[in-house]
Parts: sequence; C-alpha cells; structure tokens
Amino acid sequence: MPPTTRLESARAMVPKLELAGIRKQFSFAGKTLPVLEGVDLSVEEGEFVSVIGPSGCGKSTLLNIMAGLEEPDQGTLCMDGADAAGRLGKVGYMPQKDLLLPWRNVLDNTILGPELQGVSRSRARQQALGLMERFGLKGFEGHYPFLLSGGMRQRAALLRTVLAGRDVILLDEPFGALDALTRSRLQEWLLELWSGLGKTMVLVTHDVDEATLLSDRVYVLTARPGRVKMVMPVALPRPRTLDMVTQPAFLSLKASLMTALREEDLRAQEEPWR
Amino acid sequence: MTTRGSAEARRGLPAARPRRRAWLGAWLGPAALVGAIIALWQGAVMAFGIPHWKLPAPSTIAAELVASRGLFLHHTWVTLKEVSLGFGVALATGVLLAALIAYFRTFQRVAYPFVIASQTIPMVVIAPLLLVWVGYGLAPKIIVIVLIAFFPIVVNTVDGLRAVDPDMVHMMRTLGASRWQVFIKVQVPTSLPFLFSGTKIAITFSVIGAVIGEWVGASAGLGYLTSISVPLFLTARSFGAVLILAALGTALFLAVALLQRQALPWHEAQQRRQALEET
Ligand SMILES: Nc1ncnc2c1ncn2[C@@H]1O[C@H](COP(=O)(O)OP(=O)(O)OP(=O)(O)O)[C@@H](O)[C@H]1O
Ligand SMILES: [Mg+2]
Repeated sequence: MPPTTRLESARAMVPKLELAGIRKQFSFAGKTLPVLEGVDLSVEEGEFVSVIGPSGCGKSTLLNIMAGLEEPDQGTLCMDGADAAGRLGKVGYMPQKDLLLPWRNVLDNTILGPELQGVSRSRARQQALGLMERFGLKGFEGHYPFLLSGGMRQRAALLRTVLAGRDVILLDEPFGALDALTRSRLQEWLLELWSGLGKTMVLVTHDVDEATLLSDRVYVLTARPGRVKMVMPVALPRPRTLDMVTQPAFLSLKASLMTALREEDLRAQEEPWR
Repeated sequence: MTTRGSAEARRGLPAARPRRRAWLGAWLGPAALVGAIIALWQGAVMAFGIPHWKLPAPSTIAAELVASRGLFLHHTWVTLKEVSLGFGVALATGVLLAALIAYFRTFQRVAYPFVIASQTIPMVVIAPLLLVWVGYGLAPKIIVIVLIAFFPIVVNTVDGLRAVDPDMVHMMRTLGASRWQVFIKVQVPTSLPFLFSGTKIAITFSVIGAVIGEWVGASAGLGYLTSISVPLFLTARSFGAVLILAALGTALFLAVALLQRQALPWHEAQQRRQALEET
C-alpha cells in the first residue's frame, strides 16, 4: 500500500466538523434563556447529517454557530481538526428565507460568492451558466427573483451557496415553506445533487421523512435547552429514491425518530416556561 | 449577456399593457377639474367686472404670457439655472452626508444633530444675512436652495441605508462579504428607492428655495419678476410668473419619477406585484 493512501485514510478519521460541549444562552429583557446546553456533534467529510428537534429548541442557533454568525458561550468547534475561529465566510450556509437580492437577476444572484471573493463577474457568470440546467433554472437567468416560484427561488439560493465553493454546506429548513409535492421533488433532486457534488452537508429540518431519506445520520435534539437526545444512523442503501419511503426498513427508522421527536415535543408543550 | 437592466432582464417583468387606459382615466379627472376652475374664474371676473390689476382673468394672464414671452423666457432661464445648480449641490452633499452618517457611527453622532438643527433656523433670517456675506449674485440663491433641499435627501437616504434586512446581511457575511461590500452591494441598492423619494421632495423644495433667494435680493428670475410686478400693479405678469414656477416644479418632479422608473425597474415591478397580491 503506498504511503499516501495511508495518510489519506488517516486524515479521513478527523471529522470535517466537530462540535463539543456547545453551550449558548440569550439574554433578553433582563432574563436569560438557555438555548443550547452541551451539544456534541460531529460530521465526517462528505457525510450528510440532519438535525431535527421540536420548534424553538435551538436548531437554527446551532447552525448559526457552525456558520460563524454566532459564537458559543462555551464549547469547542473544530474544522478538519483545527480550531475554527475564523470560519465565518468559510462555511456554506443557506438560510430558510432565500434572501435573493431583489435588484439582481437570477444569474447575478447566484454569482455573489465568487464575486465577493474577487472573481471577475464574467468568469463567475460563465461558471454559473454551466450549472443552470442542473438547478432547473435554465431560461430564467435574466429574471428578477420576485418572478420565480418558491421552489425556483430555493434552488437559486442553493446554487448561490454551492457556487461559493465551500466544502461544508449548512441548510436551515430549505424546503420548509414549500408545498408537499414541490418539497419531495426537491428532496429527490437534492439527493442526486449531493451525491454528485461530494460536499459535506448539515440539514436542519422539521420533516422526519426528509431527514431519513437524505441523511447518513440523524441527530435528534431535546426540547429547549437543546441537547443531543439521540443519534440515529440511517443504514439505507444509496442511491436512494423517493419510493423508498414506503419500504419497511425506512418506516421503522422513521418510527423511532418520530417517537423521540414526539416525546420532546410533548415535553416542550408541558413545560412552556422552559 | 444578461446584465442588470438588459433587454432580456426587462422582458421578464410583468406586462404593463392595461396601463394605457388607466393612465387616461387618471388624467381625465384632474384635467376636468382644472378646466372647471378656469371657467369659473373667467366667468366670475367678467360677471363682477373685477379690474385686471386686482385679479386678472385667465385669458388676460394667457395674453400676458404670449405678449411678454421674451421677458418670461429670460427670467425662467435664470431661475432654472439656480434650481439646477442648487439641486445638484444639494444632491451631492446630501448623498455624501447620508453615506458618512450611515457608515460611521461617530460621524452620525457628530453630524446628525447639526443636519437637523440646520432646518430649525428660519430661512427668512438666513437669506438676508447671506446677502450681506456673499452679495447679490448666484451664490446666495444656491446656498438657500442647498440648505432647504439637502435635508430630505439626507434623511431619506440614511433611512434607506438602514432599512436592510439583517438576515440579508448575515447571508452576505457567510459568503465572505466585508462590511464595505455589504454597504456597496446591499445597503446602497436598498436605499435607492428612498433616495428617489427624498429627491422628489428636494427638487420641489429647490424651486421654492430659488424664489426665496430671489425675493430677498436679485436682479433676475421668476421670483424677482413676481416681487417687482406686484407693486407696479402688473398683476397678470406676476400670475404668469407663478404659473411658470408651478409648471417648472411639476415638470422637475415628474422627471425624477420617470428617472426612478427607468433606473429601478425591479422596484417598480415588485411594487406592482405586491399591490396585485394584496387585492
Ligand atoms: N438573537 C436572539 N436573541 C434572543 N433570543 C434568541 C435569539 N435567537 C434565537 N433566540 C431564541 O432562542 C430559541 C431557539 O431559537 P432557534 O431559532 O435556534 O430555534 P429553532 O430550533 O431553529 O426553531 P424553529 O424550529 O422554530 O426554527 C428561541 O426561543 C428563540 O426565541
Ligand atoms: Mg429555525
């Protein structure tokens, strides 16, 4: 075995992203609200990980910390084994709202990342045009965002995130606002896209089907203050397709996720002061 | 290539076809009202035999406008020069001040109180003083116009630069944007509709500013013309000058509105879309 291969396999042992003991609280009107209370989470290179949990348990806060938009009060965050202090701008992040700039057409929205990094607009446009078809945006390059359907806007926002060229992409309920049919179509599309891109992805979602179908592993968070309640590996074969959602293996995985999520949701309902 | 504002991009906007008829309807009402007022005015002056030096009939004013067109043209040109120079300076200083106020917190604390205080000093006090300080030429008129017109530009533009969606700023930061890049690529475009609103007010104020400047001391201009015509009982001439001033202000306002529509097609279309969704 040549030594480089051993080295590479050794590097693969270091998680792409590793969070340990993350704590975060917000102070508001003199009261403190503990949101995350010691979250441990790791993501391997090229892995697809989902985070689910009851509403308000701190999923977005966790993602914001990974993106570098927030700093944890306690805990460590490492990328490729090194402390990730300067990670803001180095991690791909797609928020729930598409946040396309209304004064730019679709094409010029998608090239924001390269443009901000100093790539010339014409080169960035060339690169983006090559991906329009795969993102279902062909023919709409010159349209302003407000003319697009919700699904198209999300795809444009995802293309913007992908073109920024980061290894890790964080997705915060990217399909939450879409109708069920569009959502499942985009889930299938995202599956295909992810397997082609080889990116590391972390997805926050409310949708248990979505988490099960897409992920290698699913983290379930407790009701606020959020902790990791359980980590479930999804040992379904890849490539996956939408019709898997009716298979027994899928359904039993989904059932155990549902049970865990329901428990926490009930706790959140019973203890609304938390 | 599909750059902003290219033909291809504009083709994407919703069709504006049913607007022609709406346009006609929107102008028919006001036109009829103006016509009625003029007719009533003309009728009243003739019926009661009001002397023309007290209240000239519309026909008398029209005759004066035609008869003295050379005179009116000369004074209109002077006023227009003052207005465009003064407004230009007001726009430049207003935008610069707004950018500095929105970008530098310390500058905001130092400068904004002065900007607001400048509006509390009555112009009737400043204008005569300006005469003492800088004389009778173009300069005092320009200064009066700038002092009146820069304020709506600063206030509106500062509000616009601050009206950004914080989530949009976060998104830009995750794409690696610096503070300056966020300012140029998000804050400035967000502020443009606000800037245009301020400009519409400012350009109208500029005409008023020119008249104030001329009233205090001048040798030409439409404001000057009204001020010398009234004591000479040349009331029709004074009315004619006021009419031209009103037309000037309206035309400049419409020009800015038209420019806004050309420059910000996304904003126009977005608003139309929103209005449609609300109904
Ligand atoms: N900047 C902030 N200041 C104060 N409180 C905050 C702030 N950001 C979030 N919170 C609070 O922290 C809690 C967790 O918020 P977060 O958005 O992370 O939840 P979430 O799990 O993403 O919820 P959802 O599923 O509804 O999106 C909420 O109660 C929220 O009100
Ligand atoms: Mg959230």
